[in-house]
Amino acid sequence: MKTSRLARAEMLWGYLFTAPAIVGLVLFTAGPIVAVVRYSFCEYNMLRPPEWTGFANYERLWADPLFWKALRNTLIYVAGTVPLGIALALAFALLLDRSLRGIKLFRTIFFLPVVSPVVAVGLIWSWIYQRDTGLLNLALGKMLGAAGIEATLPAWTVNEHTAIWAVVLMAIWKGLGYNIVILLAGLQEVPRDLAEAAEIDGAGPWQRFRHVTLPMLSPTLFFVAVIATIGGFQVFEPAYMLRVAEDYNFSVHTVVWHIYETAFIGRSQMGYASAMGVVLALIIFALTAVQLAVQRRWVHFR
Amino acid sequence: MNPRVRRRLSDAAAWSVLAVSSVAMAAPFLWMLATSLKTPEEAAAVPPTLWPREPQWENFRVLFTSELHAGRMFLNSFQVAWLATAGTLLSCSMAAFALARLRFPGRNLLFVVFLATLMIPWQVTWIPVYVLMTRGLGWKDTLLPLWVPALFGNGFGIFLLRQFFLGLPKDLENAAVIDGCTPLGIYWRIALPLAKPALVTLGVFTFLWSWNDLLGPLIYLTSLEKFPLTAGLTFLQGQHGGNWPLQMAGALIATVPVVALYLLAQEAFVKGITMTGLKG
Amino acid sequence: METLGRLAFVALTVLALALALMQSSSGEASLRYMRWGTPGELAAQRELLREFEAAHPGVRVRVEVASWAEYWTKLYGSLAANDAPDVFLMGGDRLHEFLLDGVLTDLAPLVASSELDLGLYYENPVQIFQREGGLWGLPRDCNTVAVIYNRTMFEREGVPLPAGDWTWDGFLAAAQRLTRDIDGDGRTDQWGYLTFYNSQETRFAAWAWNAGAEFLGAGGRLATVNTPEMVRGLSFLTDLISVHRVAPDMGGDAQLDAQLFLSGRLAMITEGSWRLREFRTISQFEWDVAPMPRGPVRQVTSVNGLANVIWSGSDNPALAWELVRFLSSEPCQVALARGGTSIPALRSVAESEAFLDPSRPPANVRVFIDAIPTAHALDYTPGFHAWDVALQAALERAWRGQTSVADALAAAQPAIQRILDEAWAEWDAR
Repeated sequence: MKTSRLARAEMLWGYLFTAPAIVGLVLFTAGPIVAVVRYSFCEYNMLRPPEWTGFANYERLWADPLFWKALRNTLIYVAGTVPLGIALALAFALLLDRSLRGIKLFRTIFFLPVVSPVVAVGLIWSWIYQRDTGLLNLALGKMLGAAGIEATLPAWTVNEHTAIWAVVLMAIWKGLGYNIVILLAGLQEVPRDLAEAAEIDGAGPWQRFRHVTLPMLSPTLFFVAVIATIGGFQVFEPAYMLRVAEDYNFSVHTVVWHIYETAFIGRSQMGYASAMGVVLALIIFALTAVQLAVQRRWVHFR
Repeated sequence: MNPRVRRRLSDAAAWSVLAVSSVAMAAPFLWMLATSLKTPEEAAAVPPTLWPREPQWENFRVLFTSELHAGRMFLNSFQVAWLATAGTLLSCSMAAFALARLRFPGRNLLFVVFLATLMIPWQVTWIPVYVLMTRGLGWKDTLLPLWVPALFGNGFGIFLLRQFFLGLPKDLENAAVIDGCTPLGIYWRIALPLAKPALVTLGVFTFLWSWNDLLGPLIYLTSLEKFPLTAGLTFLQGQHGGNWPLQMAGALIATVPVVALYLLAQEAFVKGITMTGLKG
Repeated sequence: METLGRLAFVALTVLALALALMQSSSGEASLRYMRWGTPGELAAQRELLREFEAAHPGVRVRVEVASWAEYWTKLYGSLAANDAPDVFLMGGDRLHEFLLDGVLTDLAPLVASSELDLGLYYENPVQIFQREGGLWGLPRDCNTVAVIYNRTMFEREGVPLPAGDWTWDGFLAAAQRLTRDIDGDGRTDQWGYLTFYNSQETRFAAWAWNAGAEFLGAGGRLATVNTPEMVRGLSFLTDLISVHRVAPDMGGDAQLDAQLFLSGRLAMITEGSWRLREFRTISQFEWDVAPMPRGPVRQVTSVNGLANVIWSGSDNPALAWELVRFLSSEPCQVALARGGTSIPALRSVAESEAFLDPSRPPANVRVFIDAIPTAHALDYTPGFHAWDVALQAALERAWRGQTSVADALAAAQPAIQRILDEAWAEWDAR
């Protein structure tokens, strides 16, 4: 009797606490998403009312080589930025969690790329990637020269095979601090005494990391992985930042770029763009569902 | 090896790694600073000069005295970013607390739905959102569309805080319930203080995103004096590039408050560490 | 410290809320005008509109601003929301698209009833906006493209300055003498010219025309890019990179585009008159303007113009027309000319001291205006953007040396024809 009253009270509190977010969902998010799904079945150019065309947009998408090329580029981007980006962020977060001299300064410096405006970041990276005078080729040239290898180095952002990787590298650099901050916050939840107890028990640094820190950090790591995947599939800015605007090889053309161009450049095809948006969302949803299913195996809660 | 010596050595190694990487991380920022003090021509020099031949402090003065009204834009930015941050922290922490610590039907579905809202790219949703804000709510040329939605939570914040609330030990709550605490009391007096590192993180990110948001201001605002700073700076760019140093000076000024907030936020991180005695 | 932090949080929130409450509403306006521009231009625009408001008591014009990067996105949004500005600025490239969907108001009857003499404006931009017997915008500007050159570099290298009647041979000879490896590291660091495939208007159309080629024929319905003249005109440009080596290749300095000229390492570049303001910030060398060199067939350049248009959903088209007229009238045109971001469309102002001001570089600024009578407009057709992209995508491979110009054009021809056929079919069926 008592428990059920408690349970009912808990249920009421649960709806009360989530009420603002549910209202927001209905008010600001649900309507637009429903609208987009509707557009995806219509021919719509934003100037005339949408006209129902059934699955035409989806059939077109299936046969659009540019969409598949964009999806391939996006997958490379996700595969390139997500695992490596998180591994690096975790390594640096562990270093930045120590009480070293000047640690606050270090933490701030690692956050600078996150706050730096995209214009500035884009300009400096284009310069780094420049073929003849760029920093990267100067360094590589020296290294290869010392090893006695003669090689023609590419213009990284222009070459159709390297361009996407140039974008990946820059994106990792720019996003590193962002993941570090989240992981640092997560590390604050790891009780120091636990690690110290383990150390007294004779556990080495790797064992302490593996058996104390990692399990405690797993909810945060899970969050970072899910969000990085969602964000990675929606990559839009980095390609633009490197000014590969006249990219007629479509070597850095991502799905969201394709969506944006379809919707807003030239004659607008919002209906088709919406269909691509829906398909992209479904792909992300499927991957997130897999992540949610697998998390039970590795995400640890006290 | 003596553990103390080993600790010292490992600290020294960690320090060196951080110092070397810091150069790579800070370089663009320093380059931004250098460029902001150059003339437009020197900024275009190839290869670039490392430091301006004659620092042009004028660039910073121009920002505040020209038609851009950087001062007023600064206040607009503060208003929008702060309200968005405060609103997000409150709404997301409430929803996240319920999703992590309270049992009620539909809880998991609700969580997945919140997560799903992050999956449709804004490039396709913004037109209906724009129509809603301007035609539906009449919020054209006001700052309202930029912060009011924050009062109603978002998938990112809810997910982030939910993960942290899940990490809190169960017995804490049980003890509180026995003491006669309602969920509101547990949320306010126990969960929120313990989740401080996560709240601060979310706060810094929300502030940063709101401060650096370009699209929102550019589509909803039509009067230049209503623009927040970062979006306002894009007007310096024009159709064919523009004055790089002036843009960089603007970018630098726009970055300072976010960095300052981050520095303050770090204090909370240190506190989080001392608090862990409560747990476990 | 803890309480202090909380107090600060609450205080800042109260302050932000107070600021939010103090926000004034933008008030009712009788007319809305949307344009892009720099903060300086926008402030000047608002100042000028006071004059208009004084002449029309009770009328308030609101200038709605957008930065260039978001202008079209924002315009589409407001059109989708059926809440577009009464008057806005646009180019000819989107004209057909807007006409297909009935976005614009025909100005021809308004011109007739207000007895406005269109002859006061340059012909070219007027023609761009004349379609199907209507006039869909009143020109604001009329910009041409010319060769901008680093005079200091020419003099330093002892190369004669470009004359008005120079030819492709003279141009090539100059470029060859100006291309140099200054620091002697085996790599060219001073270039004669910069060529690119990314803009018909500023980078390659005029060279093709001057070789006798046309991109489209039969009233814009027929793709004619695969002709010997076109191959000749565009090969001249790609040869500058790969044969004569007087222009940087795509992977190298070409990426810097106009920045290469601004930094003093490029002798000549073709640029539009809208960039005068930017080039006037140059202080480390002298520069001037020359006409496009004469090709095997003719000596023309490209011309383009923006116009102010009236949204078909405007509540007050009569008043909107008054505003459009005002925006192309003397006070506004003088401000435009002085600003250095365009040649005004009003002949009397373009040919006045407001534009030709001898106290500012370039000395031969007249070149831009003298080119207007013979200048060639871009082929704005339905589907313009799509075929422009297809053409550039094909040319990219030629400019990068992955294929010959002839092969690139042979491949582009059917693709462009297909785009045109589709676009015209939609146009004809409207």
